Amino acid sequence: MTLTTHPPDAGETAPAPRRKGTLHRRRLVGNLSAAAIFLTPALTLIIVLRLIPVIQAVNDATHTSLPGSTLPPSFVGLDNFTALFSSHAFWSSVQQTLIFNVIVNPLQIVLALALAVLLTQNLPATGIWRTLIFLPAAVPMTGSAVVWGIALRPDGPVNAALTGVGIHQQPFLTGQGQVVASLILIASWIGVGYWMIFLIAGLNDIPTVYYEAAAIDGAGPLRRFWSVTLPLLRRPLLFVLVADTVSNFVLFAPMQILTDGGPQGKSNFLMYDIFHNSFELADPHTAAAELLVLLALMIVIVAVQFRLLRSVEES
Amino acid sequence: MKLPTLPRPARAGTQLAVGAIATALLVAGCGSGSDSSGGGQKPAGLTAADSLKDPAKPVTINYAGAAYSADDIKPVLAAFHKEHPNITVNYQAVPFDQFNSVLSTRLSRRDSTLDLYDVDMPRTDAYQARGWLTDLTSAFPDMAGKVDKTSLQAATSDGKLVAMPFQTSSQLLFYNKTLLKKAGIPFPSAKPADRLTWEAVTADAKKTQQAGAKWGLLFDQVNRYYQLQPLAESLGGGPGAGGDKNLTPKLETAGWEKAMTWYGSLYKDKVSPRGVPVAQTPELFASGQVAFFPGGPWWGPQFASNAKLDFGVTAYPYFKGGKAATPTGGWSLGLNPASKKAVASEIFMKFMALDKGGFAQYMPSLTVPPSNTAGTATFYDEKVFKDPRMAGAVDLTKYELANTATLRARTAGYVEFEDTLSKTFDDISNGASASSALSSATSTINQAWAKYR
Repeated sequence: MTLTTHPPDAGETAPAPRRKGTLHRRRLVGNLSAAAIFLTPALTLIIVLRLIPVIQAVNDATHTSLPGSTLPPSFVGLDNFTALFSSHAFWSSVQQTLIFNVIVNPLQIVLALALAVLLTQNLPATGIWRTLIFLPAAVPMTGSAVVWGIALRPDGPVNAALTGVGIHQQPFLTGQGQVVASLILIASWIGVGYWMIFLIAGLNDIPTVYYEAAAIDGAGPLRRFWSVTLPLLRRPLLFVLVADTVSNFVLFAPMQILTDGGPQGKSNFLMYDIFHNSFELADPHTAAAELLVLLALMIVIVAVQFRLLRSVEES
Repeated sequence: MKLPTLPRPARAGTQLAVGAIATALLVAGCGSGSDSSGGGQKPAGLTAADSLKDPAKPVTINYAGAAYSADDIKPVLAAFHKEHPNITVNYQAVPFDQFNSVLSTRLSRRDSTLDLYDVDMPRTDAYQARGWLTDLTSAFPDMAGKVDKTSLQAATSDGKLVAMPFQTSSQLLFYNKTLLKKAGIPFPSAKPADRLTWEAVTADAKKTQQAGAKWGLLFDQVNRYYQLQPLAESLGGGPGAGGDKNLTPKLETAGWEKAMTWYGSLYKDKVSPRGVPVAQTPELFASGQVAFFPGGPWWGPQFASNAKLDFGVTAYPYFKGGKAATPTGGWSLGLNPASKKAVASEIFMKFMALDKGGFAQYMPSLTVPPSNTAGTATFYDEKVFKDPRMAGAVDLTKYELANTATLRARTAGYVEFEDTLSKTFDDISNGASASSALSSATSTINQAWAKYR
């Protein structure tokens, strides 16, 4: 914003800067007030929903009390972390969380991308296919978890179908070796269609002129995908990767409904364990300490993902 | 080639990441018990039972319950409201699996909008240690003889009456007569003296499967300490906790290992189905797929309502060479120390547990024995017990409550103990060896109990 800049008359030389300065200040104050008014709701929400919970989590993590106690908790410094780090169950939980995320995130992105590319190819009834694939994301997570729980039961319909084709009954949610895979299936059933929609939007944003140029240069479909689609889709893809990673790190409804963290702790992922400690065992202090560990893990992983994007951009 | 400018996803991604993390933090924040006002206080106005007077103005008390559904308890509340027109009981039914979470969220924050709540009897010591219960000794000093001994014992902590017991329980072994007949197995007698052994039941269960039954034996509460503790008790394994204040896990004993090895073998040998949640087990028996079903008499009405289901009942089995032990315990009423309506709450507690035989007198289909000794007649007179398929259930329940009922472990760390055992029973049924599962449970419980020692 600029102020009037006509040259002052001779008789006005002394008061002019003051008036100009006053006007400037007044406008500045006005602008700052407007900015403050517009920013207040956002800042309030950030403070109430983001900063206060973080402070509260740090406070809880450094205190302890008898679980569920109405007595005031006492300060214990880092004792809750020390107890966690010396617990075999905690490390097993961290390990299982990482294994689950290392598999589920790339898998969901690849599937969502494959479906997005397929459904932007002018196939007949594309709208119906997109709707059908997106539909599980519209069903509440708990509903999907319950339905899959019934489907994957040892005597459930999936096993009945397998038995029908001569395959032995599988312990999908009750076997140590299969529970993570089954949870990946359930999470992906819900997630793939959701992330696909973002990627379809990204694909539709790529100007067709690049495909036309590539076609003139004689590039085939695979070449066009690698050299045009992927580079131009990098940013929506990164958004989906980061958001998917975060949502899978905090996923806990299927574990709470179907496995209770079992069998033998194989699905006791950190977020489920945090819920379990906080609400079922009434121990917010251990839960808060675990939560800060989860937060640190997520920050590291998301930072690596951003770093990867930046290095690609720089290159 | 210069890339066209796309909207930067980084910012959106960061926001979403921060949003999800903050939501996660909020989840943990909600469970925080960082209130500094202290605990263990009595609610204002706590009055001796013989001086209780109905309020002159209308009062509403909030009662969170898990023992009965809102529909089941309606006639009890209707009778209470008729007798005490100035008190309204607002009953909030909470599913059993969520009950502890709901209580911990409300009581640890000293939420005065909750006045009364159901207390699962074995959790009495744990709730008392947390400061969730009110000492009722001065309000109800003469409880002896009015409620059964085990119930009174379960509602007492450190010699203080801290909850009002109103309902206890026992277990039966239901069997499907059609499936037994098909396998040529004679129907067991309902006399306590003819109690079957688990070994005999297992053998018969396998026979019924050979004759076409889908499943031979299925426990009602497949992963709950309530129903599985008596297996170890029968073999002298004890309740699983001992030492000072019962804060030392005692699960790696011969009794527990033998009992749990047998329990695991039921699933390994496909006598019982893996992966069926507690809520779905009665359905399998009710639909005629299971030969033997250890369960509560409260399933009687549901099973009896199916005219095609030909079943009978016998005593809860024991192990060969061991002793008879049966699950027991039920519910008490706890008074929130933060309640501001102590008198109205006490009047309702008295009505539920003591007045004219207690709540049992108003329930049309009560299938769990009340704690009130004078009120048990109503229970045994229930319509369901007149069904020929439930023949013997009354005498059996009376016998078990008097002779074989075994209380669950009493410990301040009961919540963690029960939680770990549920997971352990799941692991054993899913194929983990009994010894490794019990050893892992011991270590988990030991770690959790460090806070209480």
